[in-house]
Amino acid sequence: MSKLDNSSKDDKVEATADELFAKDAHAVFERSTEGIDAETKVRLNRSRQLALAELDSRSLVTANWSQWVPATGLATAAAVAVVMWNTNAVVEPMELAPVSDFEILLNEDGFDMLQDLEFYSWIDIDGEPEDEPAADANVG
Amino acid sequence: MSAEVAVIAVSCTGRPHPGVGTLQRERELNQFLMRLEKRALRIAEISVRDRDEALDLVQIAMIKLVRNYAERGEDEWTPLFYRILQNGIRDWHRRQAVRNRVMVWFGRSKGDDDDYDVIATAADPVGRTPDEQIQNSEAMQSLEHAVNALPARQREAFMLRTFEELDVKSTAVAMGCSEGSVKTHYSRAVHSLRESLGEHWHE
Repeated sequence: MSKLDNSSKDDKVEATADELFAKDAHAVFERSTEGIDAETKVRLNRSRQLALAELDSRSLVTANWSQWVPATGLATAAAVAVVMWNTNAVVEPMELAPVSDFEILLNEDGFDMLQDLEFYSWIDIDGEPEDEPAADANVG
Repeated sequence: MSAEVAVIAVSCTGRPHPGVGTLQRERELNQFLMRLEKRALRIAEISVRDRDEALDLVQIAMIKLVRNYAERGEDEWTPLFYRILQNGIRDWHRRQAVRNRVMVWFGRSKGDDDDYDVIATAADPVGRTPDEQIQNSEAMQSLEHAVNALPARQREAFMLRTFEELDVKSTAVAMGCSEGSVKTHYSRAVHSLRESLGEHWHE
């Protein structure tokens, strides 16, 4: 027990000595900072101002962006209005072009068809030509 | 249509002028940097043993702090500032090591540029008797030499804990290590310094 007591007492003495040393070291250090020469102080001040200018330039960038916020908001509002207006109209699903259309386009006559597009679209609207009677209908 | 009105109302809500908050923050940052700049300079100077280099390192740390951490709480600034500064000091030492290797390769000795004069860069005495001035100057010189002889991490821990009086938690943030490591480095540093400076240092 006495050994333990002694070791803990030693630890306390050591800790106190460490603390005293740290206090002394801090005091010596502080005094060394108190008398920094004028030229160095000016340079420190300049450094600080340079750093703070960084904040100004950052806020300028933010300000520039914030000028755009209302305009962007209005544009968004207009876009929302247009979308809402158009939601009343029923959007029909787009029909996929049948494969035969591609075949026509790939056909040698494709270019002729393109030149006479109006005619072909008229045919398409007026409906399919009536089924021709089968060739063999009268047979037999 | 009510949705449109809501959207417009949100987009046009009055916001305070950005300059108002910035001015307040600028004042706080200015005061913070003023409080800390001299100690930071001396810490950097002890680490790199060159006032001009130390001034550059402090300036870079100030700029980086403002650029990256101005929005953080004021209580976070000190450890963040010292983290930036310590990283800068470590980078500086790495660059110096490379430079010295190159200089050796070109045939120049390492000590050619090592003309740092502790007395010339010592602080000007303020309101102290000549005896006190000499005593403090000598004590600081001995301390600086002893601190410089410490391993880098011990030196960092000692300077942040003793000179800047950061607590263990903030020192850990500044050093980028655990609180346990800080305690170990600091304890070893104090013991080494007490041993090297002797019991009668600064009496």
